[in-house]
Amino acid sequence: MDNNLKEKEWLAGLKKSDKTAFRSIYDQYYKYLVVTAFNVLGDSDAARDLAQDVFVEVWKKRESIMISSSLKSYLRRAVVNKTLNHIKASRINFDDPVNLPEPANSTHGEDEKLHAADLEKIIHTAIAALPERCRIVFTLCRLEKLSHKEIAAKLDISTKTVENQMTRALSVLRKKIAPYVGEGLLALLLYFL
Amino acid sequence: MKEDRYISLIQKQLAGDISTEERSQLEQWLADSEDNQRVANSIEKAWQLSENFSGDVDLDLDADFQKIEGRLGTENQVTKIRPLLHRRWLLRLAAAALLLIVGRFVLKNYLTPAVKYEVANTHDQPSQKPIELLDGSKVWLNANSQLTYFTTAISKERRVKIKGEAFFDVAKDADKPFVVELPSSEVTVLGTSFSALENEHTVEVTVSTGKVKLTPNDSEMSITMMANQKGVFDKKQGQLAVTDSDGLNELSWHTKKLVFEGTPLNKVIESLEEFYETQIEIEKKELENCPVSATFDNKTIQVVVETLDTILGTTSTNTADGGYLLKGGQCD
Repeated sequence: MDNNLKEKEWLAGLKKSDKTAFRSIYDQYYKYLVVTAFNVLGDSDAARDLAQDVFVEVWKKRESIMISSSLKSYLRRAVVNKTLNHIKASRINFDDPVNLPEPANSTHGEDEKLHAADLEKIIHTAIAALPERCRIVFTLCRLEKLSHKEIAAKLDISTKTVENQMTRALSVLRKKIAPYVGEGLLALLLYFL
Repeated sequence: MKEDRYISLIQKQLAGDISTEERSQLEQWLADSEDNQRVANSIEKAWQLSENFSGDVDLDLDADFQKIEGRLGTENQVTKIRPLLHRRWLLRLAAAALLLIVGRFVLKNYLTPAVKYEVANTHDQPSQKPIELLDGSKVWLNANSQLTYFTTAISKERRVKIKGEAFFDVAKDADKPFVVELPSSEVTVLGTSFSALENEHTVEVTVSTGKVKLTPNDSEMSITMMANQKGVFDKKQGQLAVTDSDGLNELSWHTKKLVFEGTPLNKVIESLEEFYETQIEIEKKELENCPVSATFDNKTIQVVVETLDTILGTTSTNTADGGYLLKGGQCD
C-alpha cells in the first residue's frame, strides 16, 4: 500500500483511539525521532525520552490532531521543538570558551586520494566528537536548517554566540579533511558571488 | 584569531546569509593566497559532508513502547462529558460561517494569479523619474526601452524583463535574487546598481556598485563583474568578456554627469555630441588631441560650450543646423 494511504488510515484509526494504528505509527517513526534528537544532542537516553514524549502527546491529542503537511514532518518538528526546549532547560553555558584539542595532523600525504565516502566518514566522526554546545549549534544549523537567528532565539542565547560555536565547529572539521582538499574555488562558493 | 573571522564569513556565505561588504572582504581574502582558498575549500567540503550526518541508536522498540503505554493509562479512563447536541450544532454553524468568511478572504488575497506584471515604455527620452518596484528597487529606463516588472509580492526570484537599456538600483534581499531577463541573456544580482543594455550585436552590463553575474541564455558560461567593470556578451561570436568600464561616462545618460580627465578633445566632442544630440565642430584641426579635464554635472549645452571656450581659448558660434563651431584657440 502506498505510504500516503497507509498514513491516512493510521491517522483515521488514531482519531478513533485505535491502539493498533498508534502502534503502527510508532513502529514507523519512533526510531526516526530518536535519531533526529540524538543527532543534535549526542545523548541517546535524552533522545529516547523526547521521542517518547512526542508519542504520548500524539495520543493525548489524537482527537484534535491536525496535520497539514506529512505525518513524518509533523513528528520531526515536534521532536525538534522538544529538543530545543530540553536544551534550553538544561542551561548549557554556550558562552564557555571551548577548549579544543588541536587535532593531530593526518598522516596521509596530499597525493593520497580518499573516496568521498571516507571523507564523509571522517567528518561524521568529527561531528560526533564535537563538544556538546558546539555540536548542538552546528547540527541545528546543518540538519534542522535553522538560521543563526532562529537558533539564538530558540535557545535564548546571542547570535554572536551561535556564530562563535559555528566557527569553532567548522574550524575543527576543516582541519580533519584539510590534507585531502586542494585549492581552486569550489562551485558553491562561486555560485553566490 | 584572524582565520576565525574568515571561517565565520565563509560559513555565512555557505548559509546564504552574508552582506555585500562581508562578501567583498571574503573575496579579497580568497584572492590573497592559494592557502586561503584551500582553507575555504576544506570548509566548504566539511559543510557539504556534514549535511548527511546521522548517528545510530540501538533501540528496543517493544520496551520503549511499553514505557509510552504506561504513561497513557490514567488519561484513558477519564469519562468524557458529551457536549449538548444543540450546542454542537451551533458550533458547527459558526465554524461554517467562519470558514466562508475566511475562505473568501483567502481566495481574494492569496489565490489570485501568482504575480502580476506591468510594462513601462520610454520613447525619445530617458525616463525622468525612476520606476519604483515593490521591493524598493529602482529602475531608470534609457530612451526607447521597455521594462516589464512585478506589481504584486513575490516569493522567490525578483524577475524583470527589459528591452533596450536600463539602470538598476537593486534593493538588497539575499533570499530573493534579482534577475533581469534580456532577450538573449540573464543578469543575476543580490543588491547592487548597474546598467544593462542589449542591442543587435551585444549585451553590455556596466556595474556601479556591488557585483553582477551575466549568463547568456542556454549557456553554461557566465561572467561576474565588480564595480567599475563592464561585461560584454558578443552575440555573434558567442564570446563573453569582462573589461574595465571604459570611460567615466558610460552611465552619463543616467547620472547626467560627464567627466573628462585629460581626454583628447575629439573624444570629448564625441561624448558631448552623443549626450546632447548635437554637432560640435572645431575650426583648427590641431586642437583635436588637446587634453581636456572638466566635469559637467547636469549642465546645459550652452554652459558646456562656454566652458570649452574658456579652456581652449576658442570662440564658439551657433551653426545653421543647430550645432556649434569652435573657432581659433590653442592647446597649452
